[in-house]
Amino acid sequence: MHQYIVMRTGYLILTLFIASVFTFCVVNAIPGEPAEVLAKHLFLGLEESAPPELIAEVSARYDLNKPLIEQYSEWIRGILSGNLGNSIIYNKSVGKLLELYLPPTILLTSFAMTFAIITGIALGIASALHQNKTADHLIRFITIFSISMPSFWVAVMLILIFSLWLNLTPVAGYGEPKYIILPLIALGLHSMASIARIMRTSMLDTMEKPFIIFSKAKGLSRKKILFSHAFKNAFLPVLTVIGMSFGSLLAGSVIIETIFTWPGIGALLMKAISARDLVVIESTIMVIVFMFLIVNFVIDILYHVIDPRITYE
Amino acid sequence: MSECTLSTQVRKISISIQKSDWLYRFKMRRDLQVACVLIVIILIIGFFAPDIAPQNPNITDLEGKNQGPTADHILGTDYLGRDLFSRVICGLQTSLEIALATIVISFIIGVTIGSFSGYQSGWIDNVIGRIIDVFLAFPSVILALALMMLLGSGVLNMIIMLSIVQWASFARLTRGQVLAEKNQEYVLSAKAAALPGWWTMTKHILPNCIMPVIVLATIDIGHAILTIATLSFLGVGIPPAIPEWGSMINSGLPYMRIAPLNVIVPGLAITCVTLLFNITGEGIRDITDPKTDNEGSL
Repeated sequence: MHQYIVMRTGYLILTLFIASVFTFCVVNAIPGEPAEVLAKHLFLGLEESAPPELIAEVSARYDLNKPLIEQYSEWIRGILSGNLGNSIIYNKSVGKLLELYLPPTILLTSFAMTFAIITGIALGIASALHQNKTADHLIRFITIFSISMPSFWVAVMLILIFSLWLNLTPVAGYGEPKYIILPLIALGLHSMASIARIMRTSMLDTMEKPFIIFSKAKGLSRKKILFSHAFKNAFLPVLTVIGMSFGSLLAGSVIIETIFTWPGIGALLMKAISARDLVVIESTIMVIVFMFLIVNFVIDILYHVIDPRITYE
Repeated sequence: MSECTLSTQVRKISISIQKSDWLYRFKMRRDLQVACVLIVIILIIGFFAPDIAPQNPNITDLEGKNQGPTADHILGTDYLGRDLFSRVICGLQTSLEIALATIVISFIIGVTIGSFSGYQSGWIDNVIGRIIDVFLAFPSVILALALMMLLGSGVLNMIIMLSIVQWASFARLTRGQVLAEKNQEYVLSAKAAALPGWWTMTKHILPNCIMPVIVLATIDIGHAILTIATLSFLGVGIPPAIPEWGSMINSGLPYMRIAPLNVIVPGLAITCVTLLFNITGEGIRDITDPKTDNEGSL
């Protein structure tokens, strides 16, 4: 077990390292001289063309003319010592920005995740219990339909129906509970459907296992069989899907936050992209990748804790 | 000699039983048959979109912008007065072109790399496995977004970007399938007969384990269509001149209150096409993999 954790940690660090090189290369290779875009953004309008002296001054001031390898090693050394660099547009350290923008994203994703897990598991179990009856067909149609809808369209439809037509909820905003309802549904719907589907399949598989037949023969009540025997064993595949859902939730938050003007890192990333604030783009992408990898790391370990039958190879 | 012919006959019979088995399952699945017919229909519509669309999707008419449904425009017009129905049909062509090209490319790359890696094992397999993991470690929308910024918008760039995003899942699945298959006796006997590796791979191993990868490909067409729409919605996908569902929804947003059809119809189109490929992919999995017998019909 310990050996497995050590090896898994090694892989995690290696993956993070390759991901950081990859992110840095991609972000720095984005066409459009960053110094020029920045100069326009800071001192001129976007339509005007920046004079060469100004571009030179901007790139000197923000260290944009150093060789890339030096920029990369400075960035990584900064991250390791807890200093994520400075945002040029906001004139703040990236650490400060993340302090401001990370909590709304964590709030939104954890609400969406909770919604997805609770409704997903409930729908999945209900579907499995009524296998091939009307309820099952209905739930399966709802879930496959939810998986096929793009989340940005779900968000737009929710705004159209509940905010514009029915006037039940505000279109966008932050700070009060009523603002989070639509974003969390739009964000969580896809994961809810994936969880419901895997829960159903896994539950049906488990219900055919000999130990369930044995407990039936022993005369245990249906409720007891379901919740203390079947559910526990059926939950493992669901756990994997929950881990993967977390990644798609984080990535999906970029889109959902932009639509609902939710002040999270997704919206921060989109703003940084349009202003070519390279340090912020790199750091936000790395934060998202890092959170995703950590969650999957924890779930991998948890998997082994829950099911000791899995060998640690 | 007689034993040899006997074994050939037995093999033939067993193959025909297997084949008729999934053909039989296909005949039992009315929903899958309907989905297949519908896919053929949308492929035809997509292929001949410019001929089928009643009007030119790019002709603007500022007098008649944001109209509701009329006799001329059965779904109304958008913010520039372009015919919504024609634009949705031409949007199908854009999405299908990109999605199908992407799936073919990433299928070929993924299956080649995955089967090579799984068959080789050793340090080569380890390195390739790590690379696959890194690609899968990025949430796909984030990777797609970063790559689109790098490449710039456009149909060809979209195909390149989506292939980079999607090959890894094909490679991982194929690698796993090959790893599970390569210690079977028939592979060992092929090795003992000193058949070349690529021959064993393409003639013996892949035909036995490619079905799940084909299922993934079918479902991934739906994924690709969703990603194309999402990126275009964010404004980094397809240039605005080309009719595309995601950018249509984006441009309809400011006029959502007066012309809601402009955001409803393209979204429904995305959902229906994706749904169709999802249902078909899962249907193929059900009929080719006897283990999922309990799935039943939708």
